Amino acid sequence: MSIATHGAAQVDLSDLAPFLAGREHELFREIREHDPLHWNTEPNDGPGYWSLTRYADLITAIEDPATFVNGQGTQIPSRRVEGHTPTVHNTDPPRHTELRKVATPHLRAVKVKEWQDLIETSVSTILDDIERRGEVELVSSASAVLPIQVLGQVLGVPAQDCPLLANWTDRVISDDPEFMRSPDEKERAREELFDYFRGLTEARRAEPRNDIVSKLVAARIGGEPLSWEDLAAYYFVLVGAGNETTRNLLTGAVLAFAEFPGEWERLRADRALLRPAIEELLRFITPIRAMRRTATKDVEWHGRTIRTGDKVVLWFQAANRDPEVFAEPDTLTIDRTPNQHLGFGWGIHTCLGSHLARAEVSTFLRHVLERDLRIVPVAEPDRLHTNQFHAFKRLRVRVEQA
Amino acid sequence: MRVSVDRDLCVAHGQCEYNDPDHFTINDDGELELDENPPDDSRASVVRAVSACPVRALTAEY
Ligand code: HEM
Ligand code: HEM
Ligand code: SF4
Repeated sequence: MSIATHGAAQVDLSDLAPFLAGREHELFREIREHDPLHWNTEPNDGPGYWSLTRYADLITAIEDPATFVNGQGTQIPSRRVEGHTPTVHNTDPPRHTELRKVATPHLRAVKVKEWQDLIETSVSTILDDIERRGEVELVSSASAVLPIQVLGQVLGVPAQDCPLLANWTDRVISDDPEFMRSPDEKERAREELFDYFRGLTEARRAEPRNDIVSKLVAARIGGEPLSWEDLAAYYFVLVGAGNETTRNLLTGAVLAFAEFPGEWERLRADRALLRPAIEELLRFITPIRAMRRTATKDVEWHGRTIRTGDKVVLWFQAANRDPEVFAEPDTLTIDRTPNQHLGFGWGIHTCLGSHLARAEVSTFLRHVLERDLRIVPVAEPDRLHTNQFHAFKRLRVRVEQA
Repeated sequence: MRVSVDRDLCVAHGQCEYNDPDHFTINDDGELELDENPPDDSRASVVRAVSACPVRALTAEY
C-alpha cells in the first residue's frame, strides 16, 4: 500500500510521453485509487496543480463554481491572455450566465435539426470521396472536414471560406511544434481570424441571416449590444471548441471500433444502438481530457489543503473510467445504461455544442452503416502534443465494403 | 410520478429533452416544457432525463 501510494505520488501528468503512447489510463488508475487529490509539479517553473480523478470528486468540485472558478484560466498552464476579453468559457456567474443565454437558444436540439440537411450533404460528400480513394488519411479527409463545414455554416461563414477556418484553428489551437512555424504564429492566426470575422459581423449587422453571427450581433445583455471584443471572443470560442473536439470524437470512434470490432457488428445488426453508442464513445474517448479551475478559498480535502489561488484540474477522462461508476470501464459497451459520462463536462459550463456534435457524429456513423463500409486503421495514430485534449493529427485508414 | 423544474436553475441545456423527448421539450422561446405527471411506465426514461440535467434543475418524486 505505501509503495503504491508512493508510486501514485510520483505520477507526472505533465509528462506527455504516456499520453502520446496512448497509455494515460495506467496513470489515471494509479492516482484515482491511491492519490485522489494529486499534486503535480509543472515544467518551466509553473506553480504546479492539483488533479482530481474520481467521478464523485469531479461532480463535487464542478457543482461548487463559486469555489472552483473558470475566470482565472481553463488551460492547465497559467497563460497570460492579456488584452483579450474572456470567453463564455473563461467567465464565472453572473457574467457567464448572461453570455451563455445569448447563444444557447441557437444551439438547442430543435435548432440543430434545421442544419440536419447540411450535415447529411457534408457527410455524403466526404464519404463519396474517401470511399472512391480507398486508402486515406482520415483526419484531413474526413474528421477535420465535417465539423469545419458544419460549424462554418452554422456561424454564417460561406462554404468556400471554411478552409480558412480550418487553417486558423490549427494554428491558434495547437501547441504542436508542427504547426508552430514562428513564435508569433498563434498571435498572427488569431488576428487573421478576427479580421475575417470583423467583415462578417458588419455584413450581418447590415443584413441579418439565419446564422449565429447574425444572432450574436443582434443580442442584448442588460439592454446593451455585445462589444466587438465580446463578439470576437464568442466567435473564437465557438470555432475552437466546435472544431477541435468533434473531429477527435470521429477519429476516436474509428479507433475504438477497431479495438472492439464486436461492438461494430452489434451496431450493424441493430442501428437503434447508435444513440447510446454515441454516449459510450464520448465516455470512452473523452476528447477533452481535462479542464482547469482555480480555488477561491482554502479547501481541506482528502487530508490535504488546496490553497486559495491553487489550480485544480478536473480529469474528465479519468472520471469516465472510474470503476465505482462504470462497470468494466476500459471496455467499449455501446448500449451501456445508465451512462452519465462527463464527456461534455457537467454543471454550468456543460458543453454548449453537445447537440450539434452528437448530430454530426451520429450522422457520420449512420451513413457508414447505410453504405455498409468498414473504416480500418492501417497504422498507429499520430497524437497531438498535449495532455489536456485527446486529439489526433493523423490516422491512415482503409475504406472498404464490409 | 411527479416531476418539477426549478426555473431559477434551468438554463435550457436540453439534456433532459435529449434523454426523454416525450416528456421534456424546449419550446421555441427556449423554455423547458415538461409533463409534470408522466405515466409510471415511462419511469426509466424520465429518471434518465432528470439525472442527466447538468445543473440539477429537475426533481422527480415517485
Ligand atoms: C464531441 C465534441 C465535443 C466535446 C467532447 C465537447 C466537450 C466539452 C466539454 C467537456 C466542455 C466543458 C468544459 C469545462 O467544464 O470547462 C465544453 C464546453 C463548451 N463547448 Fe464543447 N464539446 C464538443 C463540441 C462542441 C461544439 C460543436 C461546440 C460549438 C458549437 C462546443 C462549444 C462549447 C462551448 C462554447 C463551451 C463552453 C461552455 C461554457 O463554459 O459555458 N463544443 N465542451
Ligand atoms: C480537443 C480540443 C481542443 C484542443 C486540442 C485545444 C487546444 C488549445 C490550445 C493548445 C490553445 C492555445 C492556448 C494559447 O493561446 O496558448 C487553445 C486556446 C483556446 N481554446 Fe482550446 N482546445 C480544445 C478545445 C477547446 C474547448 C472545448 C474550448 C472552450 C470551451 C476551447 C477554447 C479555447 C479558447 C477560447 C482558446 C484561446 C485562449 C486564449 O485566448 O489564448 N478549446 N486551445
Ligand atoms: S437538462 Fe436541466 S437545465 Fe437543461 S433544459 Fe433540462 S432541466 Fe433545464
